[in-house]
Amino acid sequence: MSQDVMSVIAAFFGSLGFSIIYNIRGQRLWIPSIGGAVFWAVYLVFLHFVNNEYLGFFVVAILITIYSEIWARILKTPATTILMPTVIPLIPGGSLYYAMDAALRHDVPEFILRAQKAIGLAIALAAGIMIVTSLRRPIEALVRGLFR
Amino acid sequence: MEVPMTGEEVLTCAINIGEQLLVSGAEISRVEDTIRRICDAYGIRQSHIFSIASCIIVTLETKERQWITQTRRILSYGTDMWKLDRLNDLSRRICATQPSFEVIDREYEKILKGPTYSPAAQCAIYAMTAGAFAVFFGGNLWDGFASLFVGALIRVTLYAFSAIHMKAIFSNILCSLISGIACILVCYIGLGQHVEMIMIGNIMLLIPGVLMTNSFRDFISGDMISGLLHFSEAMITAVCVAVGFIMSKMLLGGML
Repeated sequence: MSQDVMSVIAAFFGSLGFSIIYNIRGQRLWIPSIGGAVFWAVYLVFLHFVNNEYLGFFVVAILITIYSEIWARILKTPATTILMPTVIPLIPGGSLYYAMDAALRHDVPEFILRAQKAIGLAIALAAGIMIVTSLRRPIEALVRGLFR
Repeated sequence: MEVPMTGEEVLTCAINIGEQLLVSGAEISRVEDTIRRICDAYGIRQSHIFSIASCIIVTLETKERQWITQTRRILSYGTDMWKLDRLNDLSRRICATQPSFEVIDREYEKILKGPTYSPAAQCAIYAMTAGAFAVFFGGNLWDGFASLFVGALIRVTLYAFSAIHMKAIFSNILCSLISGIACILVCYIGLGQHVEMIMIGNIMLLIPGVLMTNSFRDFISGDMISGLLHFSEAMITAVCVAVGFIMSKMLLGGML
């Protein structure tokens, strides 16, 4: 349990670090930092109930993209500026490392397992982002149509 | 009071802003869209815009029915969200109020010289991020602490390599190699305990996350060429990083 709490705190600093590396300035730094920590916590809770990492990444990627689109509307800025640093904790760097490590040890079954996971998680992440991005305009048009 | 802009001036403003958007890490569709909107705002008859990850070509038919073209070659790009935000804001204002060339040019120059974090601050931030990710991927606080030094070293190495204009592929491999060796060394002297967590924390700094995500966004909006360019660049960078770290483990793996 305490490892989970640590990882949520670490996600905050990880997202904060990347926000600064991407040259986000001022008050805006809070948005991806808090987002990164909160959505990582959401992912851990999700994983607790639904034991499927890929589905978890997919759902959380959708939530993060919605989060950044909403902030983009409020701040009148491209959604990318919020999305990139917020999504950083979900980048499957760990799986990539373990796949590489297995390849180095000539452990083929382990390599396939790890590489499959790294690619699968990246695809789940991309799919989540893609769905929201491509549905944004239709949904906007629909909402505008309904409230006119 | 309004000074009408010539076609040449409209084209220069639009393509400059587009170029800087692309350099700062915007998707292709945003670059093309911004240029088109600015041209439309000044009553250009036709605008034909083609942009890929490394080049922008714009041809316009001005109000006087003259055809003019400008091209920008993009050699390197990074991620600068502050610039992206300001340029987006500037292009919105241009479309809303159609200011004169001098006004736009002044604003544009101001954005170009925009603030960045100082080298010392960047080293500190790289250190903090590497530390955070070492803990994030399951390391303990000692691993996070050891990771700080490697993170700062990565930033210093990147500064050094860019100062001597090293090619991206080679610099990625070498930087990963150096940071891999540093990871093993900080564990060897007893500062960190889990070399794999420290390595993962530092790999996160070198993985091209923005490029990857942008390539998917390009695919969605139908810019297949740019999507492929960004995607292959991201893949090559990831392989370079992996190769660098593998080499460090092959060289010094016996020490642990």
